[in-house]
Order: sequence, then structure tokens, then C-alpha cells
Amino acid sequence: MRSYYLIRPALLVGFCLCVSLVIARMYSDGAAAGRDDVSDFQARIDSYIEIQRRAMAAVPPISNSVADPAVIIQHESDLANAIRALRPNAAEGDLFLPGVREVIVAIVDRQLAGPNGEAVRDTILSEGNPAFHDEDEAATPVKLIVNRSYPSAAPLSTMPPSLLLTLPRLPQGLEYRFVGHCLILRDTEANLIVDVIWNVF
Amino acid sequence: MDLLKRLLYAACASALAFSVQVRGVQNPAAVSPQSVSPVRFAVIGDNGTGDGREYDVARRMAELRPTFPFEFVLMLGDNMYGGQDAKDFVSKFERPYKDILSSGVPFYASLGNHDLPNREIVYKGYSMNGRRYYSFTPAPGVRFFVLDSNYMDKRQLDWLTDELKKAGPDEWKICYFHHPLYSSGEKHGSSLGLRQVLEPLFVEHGVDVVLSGHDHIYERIKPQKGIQYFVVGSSGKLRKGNIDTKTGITARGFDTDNAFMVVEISGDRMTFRAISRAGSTVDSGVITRRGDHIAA
Repeated sequence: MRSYYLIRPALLVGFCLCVSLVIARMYSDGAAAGRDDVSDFQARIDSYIEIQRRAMAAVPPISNSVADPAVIIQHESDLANAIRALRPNAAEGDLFLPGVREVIVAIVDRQLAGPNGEAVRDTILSEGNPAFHDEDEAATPVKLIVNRSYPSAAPLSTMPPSLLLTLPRLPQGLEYRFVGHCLILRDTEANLIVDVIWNVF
Repeated sequence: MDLLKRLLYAACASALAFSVQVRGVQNPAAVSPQSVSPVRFAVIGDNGTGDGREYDVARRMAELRPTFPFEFVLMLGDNMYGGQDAKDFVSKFERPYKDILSSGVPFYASLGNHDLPNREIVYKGYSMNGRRYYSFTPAPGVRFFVLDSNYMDKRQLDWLTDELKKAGPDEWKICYFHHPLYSSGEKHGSSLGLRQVLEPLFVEHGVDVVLSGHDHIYERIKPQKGIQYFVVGSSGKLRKGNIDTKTGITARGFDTDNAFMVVEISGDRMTFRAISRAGSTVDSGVITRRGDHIAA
């Protein structure tokens, strides 16, 4: 009987230790999986940038100081077509695989739930987000279709700095933007929608 | 030659006829080398509507040039609203500012949320040379830092930190970008997320003046942590009666008509004037570099 009373706390401690280890292992596996997902995303981003580089090499270059805007617009259009030709079967989720999508959604959730969540939400939804345009401006719908050009008449959402500092980093040539509650990956050279995550929050 | 320069400067200064009351200038008699050749510029923000108000303001700016020969124009973003086709570059920029452009005055643009970066950064008229953010020094002792506040990522913050470190301790450090760190505009107000990352850098590196737009008003903010902030977001757009008078940060506000600013830097003194679309001076004053912010 006495040994039972000695064993019971030991069993309890052992049980708690096991549970802690399992939880720690789960978290560690989750973090490792998140890291893998981000690494895989970065690799896909690198592949896209390589396509962008090849497309740029295939179209006549323009200088950094062009007097005629028509030349700039033509170059953008040529570049977009060259990228489309190199990614004819591009589809939603090519870069934003489910794993990295979860990582990104979790980052946005944390930001919105954090101490500056309200300011972050305000910035996303009211500062240039084309789905929530000013009352004195005409609406320009942005169709979230991969390989479609971002409409030149639509504003670009302002990205909260704290969010940009926590999202997976992008190389020059690609950027994140919000359209409504959706996050897009935008080619900054060709003005193309590269991928979409619907309803991030 | 030196005497001639001084006489010329004196004549120009008289022509300005700024009605400012200067108080507390450390050494008003001192004439630094820069004060012989003052730097003069104009500031516009949220201008690119292509409608009559933008043209009116542009005309007013052109009319001012003979008496106040500003050498360049700063653009605080939203350089083009709506479409950005080739015709928009003409109707929203080249045509309204034709007289100023034809005088060889360059415009140095920053990007707003209505601007399409890939088109605007390579457009010669905006002098961005393919960069979303950049710095330039129009004359010794004056350095501008032009930021893209729509996309303040780590790369840009690192760049800004390096650039601010490079600036000399005796230089004017003037930052400009679209979203205001401080604003009493009811529509948008202060950009708190941006303030969180930029203000510590500005304070640490001794930024003197910050110019922004976004809210379609004119507002001079009471100095914040030693820095003078302006909102000049009504050079095309206007949001009448949009200044929230209860914020307690306004030194002077103007929200009943469009406005632009002209500035002259002479040594350690910056003289500014905000001018309405109708041509009246709605604010003016003098700021001294580093710490002593004085306003009329």
C-alpha cells in the first residue's frame, strides 16, 4: 500500500514528462516543417526569378531614364508576354504551396492578433487596397488570375512594415501586395500577378 | 565676384518678401558658404489628378518662378491617379507642369499608393533612375532621402540606415515619402506602423525635416522629437475640412483649398512658405537646422 503511494506521484511525473516531450516534439516538427516549407518557397522564388531574368534577356532593354512613357509601357508588355511564354501552364499554388501558405497565414494572424494588430489591419485594408478604394475614386477591379497584368489604374496596397519584416523575404523583382483580404505575389518588372493566397485573414 | 553673388542673393531675398518672424536663431549674422547660393525648391503632393485643380496649382507655381526661382520640385507621391497609360503621363504631368519643365526644372518623385512603380521609376520626368528609393544632394550641405513608404521592407531600411550614416553632421537631412508619420487628416491620419520603424532612425541620425502627403490637406506639425514634419497632400486632390483639430499636433493647417510649398535653404536656415491655389500664403516660417525649430 505504501509503495503504491510512492509510485503514484512518480507515475504522474513520468506521464507529465512524456506529454511535455510529445508536445515539444510536435512543436519542433512543426517548426522544422515550416522551415522546410519556407526553404522550398525560396527555391521556387529563385526559379521564378531565373525565368524573369531569361525573359528580360529576350526583350529589348530600356534605360533607367526613358522620356517616352509609351516605350516604358511597351517594354512592360513585352516582358509580361515573354514571361507568359516561359510559364504557359502557370497556375495558382505554383509558388504558394499549401505548406508555405499555412506559414504565411499564421504570420498574418499573429500580426493581426498582436499589440499593433489594429494598425496593421487598417494599413492592409485602407491604405491603397484596391478592394477598399476611396469614395471619391472610381473602383478598378483586380482580377486575381495568375499571369494576368495588375491593372495600371488600380492602386497598390501599402504593406505594413512589421508584416514585411516577418514574411519570408523576397528578392528584388517580386513583392507581396494585398487585394482585399487576399495576398498576391507580384512581378515588379512585368507588373504580373504571379500567385495568390485567397482570404489570408 | 563674391560681392556680386552677395548682391544677387540680397536682391533675391528681398524679392521673396516672406513674412516670417524669426525667433531664436543661434547666429543670424553668420553667413555660411551655402547662404551665398541658397537652395530653392518647390514641394507638391497628391497632385496627379489631371483635373483643373492640379493645373491651377501648377500655373501658380510657374507664376512664382520669376520671383522665386526654385531649381527643382519634390513630389510626395500619388503622382498619377487612375490610369497610367502614355496619355496619362501627358495629361497628369507633362501638360500641367509644361512651363516649369520647359525651364529645365527637374522633378524628383517619390511613390504613392496610386503610383505604378515599374512605370514611374524609369520615367525620365520623375528623375528616379530606376530606383524606388534614392538619395540626392542638390548642393553641398543639403541631402534628400526619398523613400517608398508603400513597401518599407528590410532591404530599404538597411539602405536608409547606411545612407543616413553617410550623411555629414553639418548637412541638412530631409526625408520625403508618401505616408505621413504624423498627420491630423481624418481620412488617414498618422501612419503608426511606419512611424515605428522610421522615427527611431530619423531621431538617431539627426533628420531635420520630413515631408509627406497622402492626406489631402496641408499641415505643419508641431516638432516631434526635434523633427519638423509637413503634410503637403493637396496639390491636386483636396479633402475639404478634413483636419482633425483635436489631435493637438497641428502647428498650422489648411484644408479649404489646394496648396503647395516653396522652400529656401540658406546655411543653417530653411525658410518655407505654403501657398494656396488662389495664390495666398497660408503658412510660412523659418526652421533652423538641428534642434531649434522655429516657426512664424
